[in-house]
Amino acid sequence: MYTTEFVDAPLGDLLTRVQTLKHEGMRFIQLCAEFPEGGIDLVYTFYDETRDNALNLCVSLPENAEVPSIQGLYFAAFSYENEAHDLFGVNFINMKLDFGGHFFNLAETSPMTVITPEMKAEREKAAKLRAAKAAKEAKAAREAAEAASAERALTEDRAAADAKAVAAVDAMAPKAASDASEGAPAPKPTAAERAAKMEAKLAAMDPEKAAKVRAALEARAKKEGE
Amino acid sequence: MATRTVIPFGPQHPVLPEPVHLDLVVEDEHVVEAIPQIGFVHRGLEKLVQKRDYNQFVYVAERVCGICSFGHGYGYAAATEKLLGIEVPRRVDYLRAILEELSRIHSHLLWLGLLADGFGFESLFNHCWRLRETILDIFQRTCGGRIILSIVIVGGMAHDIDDAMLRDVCEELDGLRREYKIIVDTMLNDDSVRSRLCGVGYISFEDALELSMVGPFAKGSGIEHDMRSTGFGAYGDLEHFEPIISTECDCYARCKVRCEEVYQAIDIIKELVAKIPHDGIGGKPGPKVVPPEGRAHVLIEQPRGEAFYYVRGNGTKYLDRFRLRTPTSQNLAGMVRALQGVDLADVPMIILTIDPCISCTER
Repeated sequence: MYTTEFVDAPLGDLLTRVQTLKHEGMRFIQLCAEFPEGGIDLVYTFYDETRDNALNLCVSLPENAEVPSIQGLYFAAFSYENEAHDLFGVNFINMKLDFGGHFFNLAETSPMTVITPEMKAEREKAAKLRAAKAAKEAKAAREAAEAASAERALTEDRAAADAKAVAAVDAMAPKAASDASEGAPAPKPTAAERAAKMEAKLAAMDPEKAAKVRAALEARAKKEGE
Repeated sequence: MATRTVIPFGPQHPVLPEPVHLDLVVEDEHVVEAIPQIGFVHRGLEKLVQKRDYNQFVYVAERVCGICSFGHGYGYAAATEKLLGIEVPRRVDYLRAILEELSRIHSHLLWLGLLADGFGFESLFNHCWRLRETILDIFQRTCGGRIILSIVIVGGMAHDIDDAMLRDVCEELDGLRREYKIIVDTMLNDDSVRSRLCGVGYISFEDALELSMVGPFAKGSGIEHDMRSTGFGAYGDLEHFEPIISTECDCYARCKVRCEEVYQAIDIIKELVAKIPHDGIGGKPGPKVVPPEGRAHVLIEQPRGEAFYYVRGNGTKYLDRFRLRTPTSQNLAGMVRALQGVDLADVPMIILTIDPCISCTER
């Protein structure tokens, strides 16, 4: 089975490359023009009989480019060059056999460069799908980055809190030691003291609210007494 | 010095089944130069690839031409499968090769009939076309159609041809071979045929190579190029394959090559039927499968020579480009060279022995 190769070639190197291939004994298979998004491409195909390899030279054409004819090297290219001129409007120079745009009798010039509505719609749909997919991937990447940064911040916060707690414990340790050296811990306030404190608070309150609080306290005391 | 005159030849001419125009520059009765002109049946079928999805386009590809119809469907499907990265079952390769060889027999018989008609051998014309009917009947029984077979799909075959039917085909081909031998022996040994074809339309080996000629036109000049010898499809499983060539480089040599190719095609079919595997016939890719962005091409050996099928995908269900380079487009340069220096009366014979297929060439 033969092998296939696609090689990009700049327009400036075309004739030199084709001359080299001719010198190597490659057989010319075809020349094909195509009109993908972004301009016209030419694909020259050659076949190497000794290696059973089909080599495709892909040439992207700038706008209004003048393409050197290869008819001087491979005369069989005359039909393809005239066809590419009539159907795609490719401007070949130095053609040995030039039909001057009348190889095919067409109603319209360069008909193959007109994109059909079906193809246009499909391309737009594909572009939208590609954009949506890219946006989805970007969003997922952004969310993943945010999650990672939040996780990092949480870890850092925890580490800081731990360090702070350790520092607090360390700071408390000498105080506790000094308290221990002074004697017993501070005594709890008595019931009378708590009642006095509450009375002071109630006195400062609105009388109506104070009455409600007093009633609630009495109810709780009664419940506890039961 | 003789006066130069331009004689228009075609697009309508008794020997031309399809329209092609030649401006023949003649001096007395000798052709000095021939300038071909096509474009009378250009239908823009390649453009339709942007309106029909890649599965539907098989049926458009088959309609490019009524003689190489099966081969165009096969070539397009093979190129698209290559782009999609689909590997079809081996049985599919075998069935496609068998049908391609049947197409070769049918095409060569049609051509032989036209050639016979070209030099006024009408009974031979009738016999050739009668034999051709055998192949068309086989197509009808195995595929359902006589010319447009619609059996190839991207990813496999639309339906199978069972083994019993394939064995019947082989038996019919044995009968055809016997009758064909009588016809061919009569024709190739006929004095009037030889006088019209021998030494006419000479193309040297070097010229054939220089002009990148293909098919029986090139093989008649001693070029051993035949894509089947690269072993694509089921051809790689053949015990032995040797392209048929002739070194006389004239119209008679091209005739001999085509006549011998019919015997070779029968042998290939019988060998493939004996070896055909049973691993399924594949099927269409799923509805969500679309050709990716990229390029792929295949080269197959059609009855008239090497044909080139190129596809470019853009990630949608429509292909960006489908390109079909037929053997006749490649042989136009050779035809121009073969016509230089010949007698005006030999022009029809030379054109017929090139077997041009203009519908394929113009698409």
